[in-house]
Amino acid sequence: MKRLPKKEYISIRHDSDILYAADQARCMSEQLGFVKIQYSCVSLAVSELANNIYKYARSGNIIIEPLNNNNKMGIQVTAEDDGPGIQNISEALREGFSTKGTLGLGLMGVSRLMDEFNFDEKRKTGTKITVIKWI
Amino acid sequence: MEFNKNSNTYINEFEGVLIVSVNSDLDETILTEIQTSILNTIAAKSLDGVVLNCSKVKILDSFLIRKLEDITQMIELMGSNAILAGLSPEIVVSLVTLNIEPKTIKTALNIELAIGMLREIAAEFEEKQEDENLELEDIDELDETLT
Repeated sequence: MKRLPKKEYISIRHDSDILYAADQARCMSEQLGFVKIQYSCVSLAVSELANNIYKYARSGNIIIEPLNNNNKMGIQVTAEDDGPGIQNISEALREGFSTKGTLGLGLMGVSRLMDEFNFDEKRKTGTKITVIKWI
Repeated sequence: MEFNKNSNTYINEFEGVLIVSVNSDLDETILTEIQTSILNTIAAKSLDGVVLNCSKVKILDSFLIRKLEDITQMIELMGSNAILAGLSPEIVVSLVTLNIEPKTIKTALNIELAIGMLREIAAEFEEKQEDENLELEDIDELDETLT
């Protein structure tokens, strides 16, 4: 059985951390066997999630971990922060992405780039989003 | 010791065309410097246009695409033309998946083709200018007879 890469914790505090997180996600995806187009989608999703943390919460974490579901490989990314939180997730998802101004969280796009999208509704403060992509 | 990269590191002038090397790790500050540098150069010289070379871009996220849209729009407001070149298959797949609807930006597969497009646009504009100049002469004559 191939050894899985280690879970990674990346703190998002400076804008340079955004690219770092995206790069780490790309590396791990590549290691796990995702093809180029797939791992480009993963790193873009991470970039968008990290951008949101930096823009709205100023600081938070991106956690990247490998998944092995009966030899079906995948990657899981959790984006969490103690920022303002998302009051209405279904609206945020529906509103899509606007390139005008700074409105829009781009979450619709993130959910399209990945296979699974989960928003933690039980969380009292801040935001926690978990996304998964399978090979 | 930090290597101080400024906007000039990323901008090259080649036979009347500005070639800008865009990559994923350009932050807000340097992108704004590059933008200013491009616009000042357009104001100062006669150029056929600007090629935004994205062949080294690994991740084209919403932040970067917005900056590129803005820069492109500013270049065109100054009466020049901008072409995005070298977008990779992976970039365009993820861009469309993200469902971003970028404002209309002209694109080309690579720098050579982008320069070719800019030359064509410049040549067409020159031809049009020549035709319009003839009309202007008629207007001048008419103006004189009226006053």
